[in-house]
Amino acid sequence: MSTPLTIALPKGRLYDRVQKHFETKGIFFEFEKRKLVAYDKEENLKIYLVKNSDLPTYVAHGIAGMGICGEDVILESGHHFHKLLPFSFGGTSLSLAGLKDFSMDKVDGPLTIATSYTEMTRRYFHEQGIPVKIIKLNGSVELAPVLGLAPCIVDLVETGSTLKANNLEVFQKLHEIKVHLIANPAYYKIHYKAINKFIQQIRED
Amino acid sequence: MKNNLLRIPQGTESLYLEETFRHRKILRHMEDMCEEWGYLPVQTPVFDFYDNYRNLLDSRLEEQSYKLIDREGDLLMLRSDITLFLARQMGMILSEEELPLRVYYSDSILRYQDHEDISSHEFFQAGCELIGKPGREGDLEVLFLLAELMKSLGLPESRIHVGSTDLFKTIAGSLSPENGKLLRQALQTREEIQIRKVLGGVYRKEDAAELCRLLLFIGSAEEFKTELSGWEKLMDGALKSSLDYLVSICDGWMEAEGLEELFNIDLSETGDQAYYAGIVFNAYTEGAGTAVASGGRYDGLLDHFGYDGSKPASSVGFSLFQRKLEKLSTIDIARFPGTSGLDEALPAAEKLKTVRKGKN
Repeated sequence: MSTPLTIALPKGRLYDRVQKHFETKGIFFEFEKRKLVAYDKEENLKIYLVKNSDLPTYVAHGIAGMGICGEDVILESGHHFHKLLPFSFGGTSLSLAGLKDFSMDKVDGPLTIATSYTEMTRRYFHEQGIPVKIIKLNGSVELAPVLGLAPCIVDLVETGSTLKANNLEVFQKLHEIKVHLIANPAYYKIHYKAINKFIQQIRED
Repeated sequence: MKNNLLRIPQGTESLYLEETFRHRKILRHMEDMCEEWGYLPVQTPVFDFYDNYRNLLDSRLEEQSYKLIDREGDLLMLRSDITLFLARQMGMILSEEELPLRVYYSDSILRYQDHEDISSHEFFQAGCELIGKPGREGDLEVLFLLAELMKSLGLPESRIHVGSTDLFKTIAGSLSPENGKLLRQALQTREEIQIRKVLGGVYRKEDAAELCRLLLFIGSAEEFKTELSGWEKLMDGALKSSLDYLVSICDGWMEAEGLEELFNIDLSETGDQAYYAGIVFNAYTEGAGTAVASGGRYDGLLDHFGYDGSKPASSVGFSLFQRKLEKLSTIDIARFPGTSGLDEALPAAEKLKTVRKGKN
């Protein structure tokens, strides 16, 4: 048996979907309680369970050769990867939202935005030629307009139900966010044969 | 005042004792090898006028370069890429009678590195340039030298991936400059859907699909040759000359003993520096998160810096990030002198005697 390919998976919501998807393709694995490293049944894969936003760091340093994560984390990290396979599950969109009665026309000077995605937000608005002031938050971003920290937020929106519950609405989609299989470019160049085979195996029908 | 003793400026590195010993030993080994192949040492200046390089820097290198202002108000750039500094030096002094010329270098480079990027170890470049030997024999010589160097270092599984800027430029030539840029980006991220979309804008759907397959191809010389017949006809045969050239390179290394395992044709290698023209290559080693060496052929770079002979000063060369390799090399290094066991109580005169005796 050759050495297994290394892959990082993000903790949380996306993990369950990846695990289910892999099962339909005949790849079975589970993590023992509190363990963060596991092998699949056939020992073709060595799997690391990491925090979503740290995933690009592990892959960029080649600690994990591959990873599965959303474009949001990839863009936010600033690293460059091979994006080998897009998945249909886990897609969201990065959107600008705010209180229902807010209007862009009323804003003088830079637009204040609260977000966890500072890089993408800044890049998007600067490309549009719009000056922005960004307040970095690490979670529960919906609170910002409600409590008056910032009139607008940029956040991932899947169904929009959290926004609705807080009396917020989406003004604009900034990016469609897809989930990708990514690889460290140098790792891919050494292991391309095994990785291509792996891609064929997990490709959605 | 901040405690600057504890802080390390981004883009710098210090080596200590055993690590330095290893670094120097490996360096000496590489220098010896280059000299065996007939290469002479060169030393480039630490800084130079920025204006000389302004048009040659890609955006990444531009961002990573440190600039400073000299006492007369001119903008200077610290050495961030030895190939460029070397070309300027050579372009100034070379005459065509001296060609072909073989040189090697090894020096520290100064690049800004993000805190995220700290493990990329781009502090020290060592490499070779073969100036004024256009064509296959020059290309093969440099590829063989790199392969022998890497082999001699006893690295884990390694590969040299060779691509062709000519081939890429021919394909991208029909696209608008923006789409050409998009294609290059999509090729770097290997996004098949995106590549097909960009190519589909100017080529027929089946051709776009086949060109996409060609650009994403990675494989051994033999695998490459079995695919050829389908690709030669693409774009009314416009790719044939670049493909034929790659085949001649393939044949060259299939003849060389013990190297065939080390090479792949990889048409997604398009070279990250704007000055490349001809073959380009990157070398990868298991365990290194980024390429450990990169190189290729460039024409006209020396002319840019003042060379005006009638013989072309087309050059081919590579540079390797030695610090990345040191960590992975299993080369046998002589005993570290710190453990040689000389008795501290020994008087200096006795020590002299011991060392002299050791030499005999």
